[in-house]
Amino acid sequence: MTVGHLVTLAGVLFTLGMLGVLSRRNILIILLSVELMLNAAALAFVAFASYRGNLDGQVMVFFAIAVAAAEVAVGLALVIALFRIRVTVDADQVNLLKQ
Amino acid sequence: MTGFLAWLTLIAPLGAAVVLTILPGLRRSSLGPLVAVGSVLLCAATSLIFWMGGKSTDVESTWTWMDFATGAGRGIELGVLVDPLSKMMLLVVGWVGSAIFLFALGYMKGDPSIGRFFAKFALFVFSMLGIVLSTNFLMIFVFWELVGASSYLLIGYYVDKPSAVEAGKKAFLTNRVADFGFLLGILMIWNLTGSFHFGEIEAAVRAGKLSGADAGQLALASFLIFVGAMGKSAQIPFHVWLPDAMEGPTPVSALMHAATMVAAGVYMVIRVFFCFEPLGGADWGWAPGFVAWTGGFTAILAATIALVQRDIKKVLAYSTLSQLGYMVMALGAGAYSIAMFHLTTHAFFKGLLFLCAGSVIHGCHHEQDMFAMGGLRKKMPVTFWTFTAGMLALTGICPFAGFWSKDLILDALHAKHLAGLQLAATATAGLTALYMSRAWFLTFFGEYRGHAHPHESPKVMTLPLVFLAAMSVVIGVAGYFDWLFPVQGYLGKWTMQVLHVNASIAIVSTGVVLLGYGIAWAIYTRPTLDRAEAVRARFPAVYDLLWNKYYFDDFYLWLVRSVQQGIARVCRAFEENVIVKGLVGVPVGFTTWVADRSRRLQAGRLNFYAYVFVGGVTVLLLFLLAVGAR
Repeated sequence: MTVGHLVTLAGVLFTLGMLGVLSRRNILIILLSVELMLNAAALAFVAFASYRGNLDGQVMVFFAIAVAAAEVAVGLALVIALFRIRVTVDADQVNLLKQ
Repeated sequence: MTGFLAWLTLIAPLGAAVVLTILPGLRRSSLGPLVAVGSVLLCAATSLIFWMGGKSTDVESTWTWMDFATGAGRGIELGVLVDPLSKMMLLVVGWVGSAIFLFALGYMKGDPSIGRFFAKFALFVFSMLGIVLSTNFLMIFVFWELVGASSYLLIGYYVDKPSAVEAGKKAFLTNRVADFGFLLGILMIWNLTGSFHFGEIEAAVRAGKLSGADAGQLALASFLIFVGAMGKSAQIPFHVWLPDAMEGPTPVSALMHAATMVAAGVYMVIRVFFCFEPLGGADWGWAPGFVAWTGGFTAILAATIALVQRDIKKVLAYSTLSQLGYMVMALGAGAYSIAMFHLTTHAFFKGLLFLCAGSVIHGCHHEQDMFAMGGLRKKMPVTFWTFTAGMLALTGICPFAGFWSKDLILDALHAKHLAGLQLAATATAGLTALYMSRAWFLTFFGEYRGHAHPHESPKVMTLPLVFLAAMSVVIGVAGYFDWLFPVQGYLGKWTMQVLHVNASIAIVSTGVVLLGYGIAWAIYTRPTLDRAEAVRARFPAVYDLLWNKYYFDDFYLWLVRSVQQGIARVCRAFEENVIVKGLVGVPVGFTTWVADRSRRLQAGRLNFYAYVFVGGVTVLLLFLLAVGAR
């Protein structure tokens, strides 16, 4: 299992996440897809860290995980607030700006 | 002390006007008018103090309102100037004004908004006092405009009467046109001498600092200043507002057209007479000649129009125009103190005549047509006798006031060899006698032709009449004594003095006046007025010309309707097509188009934003890769 396999896997995961963000309508699924993209990037960091033999990449992953946790907390809070107002989690229904 | 009194005189009427305006309770109470009357009586008292004080009360007190630079003479100053000239004018405004204010107490009694009337009346007096006491051109211009504004308020006092409102607008607009000339003149004077202050300008002119070209400019500037005086003093062609201003209450007509507003123009020219005699009187220039001929035309044209008027107040209005013409003639002849003397006597007897007319109108229940009067001699004896005194003074019968002042003007014209003007002035004297005795016969003699029940006016109205009548009899002598009429000594140093009665001129003018009386007696003393009708039928063309006031109003109407409206239409087309559709419309259209396009980017759909975001990141990535590869 070379670094090439790992980076390819990260790319596949990232693309899946991106497609999820673009194609799904459920805000919760979109958030999950964003997490998938973040973790794909984290995987790429770890792969390169192992390949180069130092810890820089792994440290960066810790940062990424911390930021992701904060981001999920805020994101989910927003979703709950939105649900209380609009009674929906469908992104297409949330078009207040247009009106 | 004198300075304080002068400031108090100026501020008191303003205080009365302000108090009456902001305190509705006082305005509606019967005390309100008395506040205004009190402020004018104060002016009468202080004017007497100043006059009695002689030289000891001459004072100039200034207050710098705005200081633009450290250099002197570059700020805006407000000040009061008490000198022989303003003392004389204060006497006129104070005493004639007081008589008119007292008369107004009776005349306006029962008017629902009498408080509003007296507030405006006091404001008007304040504006006039500002002109009288001002020390510089800027201040006089401010009060000049205030007189215009307050005259607008007073002429249009009967706000529910459309003709009165129109007359107010006409007076204001006519004055504004003339004031534009005045403003230009003031700026030219400032440009030449670097000062607005009368004393400094006089010193600059007298010192001969102005070279040849500057003297020409000074003539033009004095002409422009005179244009301002033509507006206020209602000289042809700015005279059209004055007859219409009769729409205001009669006390307003009396104050405005005898003692204050129309006198302001003449007073202002006398105040700055040094501008009209450049280089110490050596070079006359063309401005004085223009002034004299304007006065001559106004005098004789207005006198002829007065011959055919039916409204008693209109007769007096045209008579005022005619007498102002006399004063302006005197100004043009360089006889400034004589113009001031005629202004003084005229203020008393014309104020008297207007108040008599007011008394007649009041007694006949607001009938103003003289052909619906007649025989009032028995029913209103006090008004009859005082009117008679005023008429004799106006027509210049010795020893009444008008005789002395008018005779001096004729003398002055004679001394300056202005034969044409002297002829016009003498003819005007005859016409004056004709139209005044016509009004006198029609109003007071014969049988009563109206349908009301005429009655004498109350004491508060007749007492001012008696006072003014007494003054009209005696004041003419004052001009021959320096201590009674200090203006003569004050101005006489530089201007022409004519202190003697020229017997031949006096006899000729008196003869012409008696001829006027005789013609009126022959025509208007018949009980049925058939001769008046016959005269009218005999000269239909002349009658039409006079009845239509030489078509001045029609000409101005044509000017406004055809010329001014034509220009306005062109301006409007330019504005609508070029400015609105072009300069404004094109940028608006472009902005709208851009906004309409870019609006679609803000669709409000989350997925669309995500696509744009991903697309943007991809483009950025490819760009970085391309740059990195190089």
